Amino acid sequence: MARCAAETCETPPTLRPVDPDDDRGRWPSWVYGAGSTPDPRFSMANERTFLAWVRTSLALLAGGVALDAVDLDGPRGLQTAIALVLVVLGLLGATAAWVRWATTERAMRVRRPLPSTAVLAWFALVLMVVAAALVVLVL
Amino acid sequence: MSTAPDSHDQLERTLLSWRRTALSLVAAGLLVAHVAGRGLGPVGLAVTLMGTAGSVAFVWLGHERRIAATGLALVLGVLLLGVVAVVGVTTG
Repeated sequence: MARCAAETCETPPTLRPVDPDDDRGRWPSWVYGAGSTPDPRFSMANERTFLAWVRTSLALLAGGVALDAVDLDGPRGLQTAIALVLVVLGLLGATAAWVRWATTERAMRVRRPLPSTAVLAWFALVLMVVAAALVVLVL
Repeated sequence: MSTAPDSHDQLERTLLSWRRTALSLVAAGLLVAHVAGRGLGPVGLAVTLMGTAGSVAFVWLGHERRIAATGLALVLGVLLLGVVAVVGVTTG
């Protein structure tokens, strides 16, 4: 997209000033039915965080499938178990990403503190265990 | 720093992020479809490819004000791939 001088740029559609009541009919109502429209830049940052979580989930899913497809010298049962854990982690991550996007959006609308990152800690913990099991499998 | 170029940048980054994620779903879908084709037969392959295509099309063409629905379509695409992958891993 071509750049333009600030004074000649049109404001993009999503960044136009919005009527606080304009969001009332949007789905889901438990997100958009309360509070007022936050700064669009914050909403877009929230969107990008959600999308980064989805890509992480896809990477975990692909890693699980790839692990199941290769032949390693370790026990086959352990390999299948790790592959399953990775795929299930991908499933949970994608679901948690959407829920987190919605709760964060709602928190921004009602001017409350953003939700905690407990899911991130659990993710890291499970991934550490998976990494350790992979070391056992490969060595 | 002026506000308008920054706002354009934010919007472009977000749109690119949606498309990058949709392309990631295509890549993962092809990988899972490969597994599904081997382990689950042509029905599994067809379900995986059609589900992925539907999800990606919805995301690619999604209206920017329906973020929740578009995001949910993306998540449903990932869930479909995950279910197929679980079945493929356990049966393969």
